[in-house]
Amino acid sequence: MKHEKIIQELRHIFEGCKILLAAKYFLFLAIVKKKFRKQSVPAEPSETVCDNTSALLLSEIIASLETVCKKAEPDFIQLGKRLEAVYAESKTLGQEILEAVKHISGESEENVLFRAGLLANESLADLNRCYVRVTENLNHVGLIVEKLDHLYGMCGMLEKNAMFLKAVSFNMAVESARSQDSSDMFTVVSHQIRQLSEKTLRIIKNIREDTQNTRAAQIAGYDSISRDMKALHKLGKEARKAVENSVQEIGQLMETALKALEQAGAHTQEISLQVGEVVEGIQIHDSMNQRISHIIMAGYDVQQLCGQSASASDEGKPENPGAAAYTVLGLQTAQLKQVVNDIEKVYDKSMRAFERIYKEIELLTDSLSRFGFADRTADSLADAASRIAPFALLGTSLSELRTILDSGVSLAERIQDTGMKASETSGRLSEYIEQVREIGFETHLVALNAIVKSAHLGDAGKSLEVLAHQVKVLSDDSGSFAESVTEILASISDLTLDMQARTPDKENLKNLFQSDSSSEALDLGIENVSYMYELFSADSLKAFRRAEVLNTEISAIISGLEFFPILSRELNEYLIRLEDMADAVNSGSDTEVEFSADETERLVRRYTMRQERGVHKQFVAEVSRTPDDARKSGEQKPVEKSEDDLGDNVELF
Amino acid sequence: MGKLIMTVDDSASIRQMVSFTLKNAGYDVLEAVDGLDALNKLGGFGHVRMMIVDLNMPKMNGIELIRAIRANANYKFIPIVMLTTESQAVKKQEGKAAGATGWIVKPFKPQQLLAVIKKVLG
Repeated sequence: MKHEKIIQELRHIFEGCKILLAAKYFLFLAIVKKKFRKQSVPAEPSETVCDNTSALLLSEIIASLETVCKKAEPDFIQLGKRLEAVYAESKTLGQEILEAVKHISGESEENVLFRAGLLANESLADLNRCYVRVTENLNHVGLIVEKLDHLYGMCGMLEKNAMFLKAVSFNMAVESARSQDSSDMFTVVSHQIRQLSEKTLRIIKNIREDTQNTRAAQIAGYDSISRDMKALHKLGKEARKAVENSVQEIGQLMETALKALEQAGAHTQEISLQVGEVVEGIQIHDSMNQRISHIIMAGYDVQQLCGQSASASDEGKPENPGAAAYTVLGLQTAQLKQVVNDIEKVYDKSMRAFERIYKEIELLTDSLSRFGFADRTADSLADAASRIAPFALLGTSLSELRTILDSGVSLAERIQDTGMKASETSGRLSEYIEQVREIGFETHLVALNAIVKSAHLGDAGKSLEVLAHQVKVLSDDSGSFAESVTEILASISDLTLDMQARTPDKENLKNLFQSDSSSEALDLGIENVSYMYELFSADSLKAFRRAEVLNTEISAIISGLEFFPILSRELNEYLIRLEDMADAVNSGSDTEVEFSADETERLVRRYTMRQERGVHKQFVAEVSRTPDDARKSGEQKPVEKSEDDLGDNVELF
Repeated sequence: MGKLIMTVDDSASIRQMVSFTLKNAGYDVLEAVDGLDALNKLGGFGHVRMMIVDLNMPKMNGIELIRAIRANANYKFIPIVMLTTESQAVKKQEGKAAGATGWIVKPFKPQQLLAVIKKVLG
């Protein structure tokens, strides 16, 4: 009785206290009560601490829970907004990466890289064709030089012939001086023959000089072109290697691009999946609100029960309001504990989802790094662009190929010019040879005339007749030589004509050595590769920067998720207070409080959510039945799957 | 312009997540905060093709809203899917009787919601 008195006194003292102090009081009360209960033997029916004070305390908890729910809403809305922004940005990022990679993926004519590869191969074929043509023409020049050599030799023979003729004319002048008759007949003839021989000698000199000059020029051209050909051939081999490497690079780039496209799709899909996890998680706010509103409603029930417990009237009063209050409070602590657990789970899940999104964004941009971006923190476009080695290599090798092709065309032009010079020489020499032939013919006539005249002189003209016959032989020889020279000149002309036939004119030279598809197309190809390279660099850099901004935002969101543990801690505080209150109610009774079946049934009808009913059943089973029963009761009835397998939570009517 | 879908829920976060999911899938979304708001908005913002409705809402709950909509000749056959935390068979039966097309228990996964919409709208 003594300690009961103390309790009464304490109760009087604290009744006037403010609501904020009520909890401390309540706990203290419980401790004191328990302490004294252990020391005494109960003599009277128990009295619970479920009274108006408890009701006040509950009011505070209810109000606080409502406040916590309301206060949390902006955090969830803010998280939703940030999630929307991150998802929109990551979609844009995925699109940008696809756009960037699209420049270099796919084996179609629209693909710049693929086209560049084709052009490189076509250009190599053109370069080969050019080599063959230049080599063939170079051989022709060699043959022309040989012909000119032969011609030069023929000039010597013609010259000897002319000099011999000149000597014969001198002899004829000497022999004709032996008599008046012979002098009258042969002075003019010998003079004519001398003049013709001298004229022939002059022409031969011209022919020889022209031949020599042309030959020298042809040899110089041949040597120069041969040298350049060798150099070009060496460069060509290097260019071929570079182009072959580039074509290989192109293949690898396109393969990488294809992989990047596939991976970008997979990463984007994973981001969507993780966003879905957060979308599901954010809905905890609605679930929490509803469950807490049910806890609050139950709190009002407890208030009512405590009020009934404290009132003197028995009208409408449950058999044991304290037990009922304890039942309801116990159940609510279980419900609130489940809410706290669920919030913590959502926090973990959201944290993992955002970390995964962060990682996926890194992987997305990594797919671009494979194209040469070693560092995603490139300061400028130029810095980033310089790192794209395969593109640079491709551009360079195509440019080199273009230069070598130009050099090849230039060689072809030069060899054509050389051939033209030989052709011009051949034309001039033909005119000279025509003159030689005419002189030969004239000499022939003079020789015939001299033979006739010498016959008139009889024995006195025997020597002159021999000389006249000699002149005739020499003129015939001269004619034969002229014929041979004409043949040589004709073959030179044929060679130059053949060269010209291969390269009709300079205008068409480029087109001949460079097919239509690769001539200007190669220039366009180089231009396109450079342009594509710039586009890719710009798009990639844009994507990298977006990824950086996005990941900064995700990091901020991850930091912002701290509202979950704060919310969880806040609710946990009220959970502890509810548990303390339940303990206090329980401790107010001298015997173990039994759960009120009526109250539990009434509560379960209020629950709308599967989780709430599950917690309720499990709690009731745990405290009122055997562990085995509890296990059985706690088991959730498996939900039948819908026909279309839309999920356990979906049912279409 | 995507198909217009109305989401009716007193929870701002749920409306936000439904709108987010639907807009990303190309739908247009009209939001209402309760049954009464939904009724007032219906017909005033274009042709609503489908409704996603919560059950427990102030002013007018989901079942009352379905009954009111089914009474309107213009929306007699509009698909209405309940999206609620309520999972009791009795409530589902009540919703079905009132004219609900389907029932989704919260929380929903975006792909799940979209699959339901695709199935319902075709």
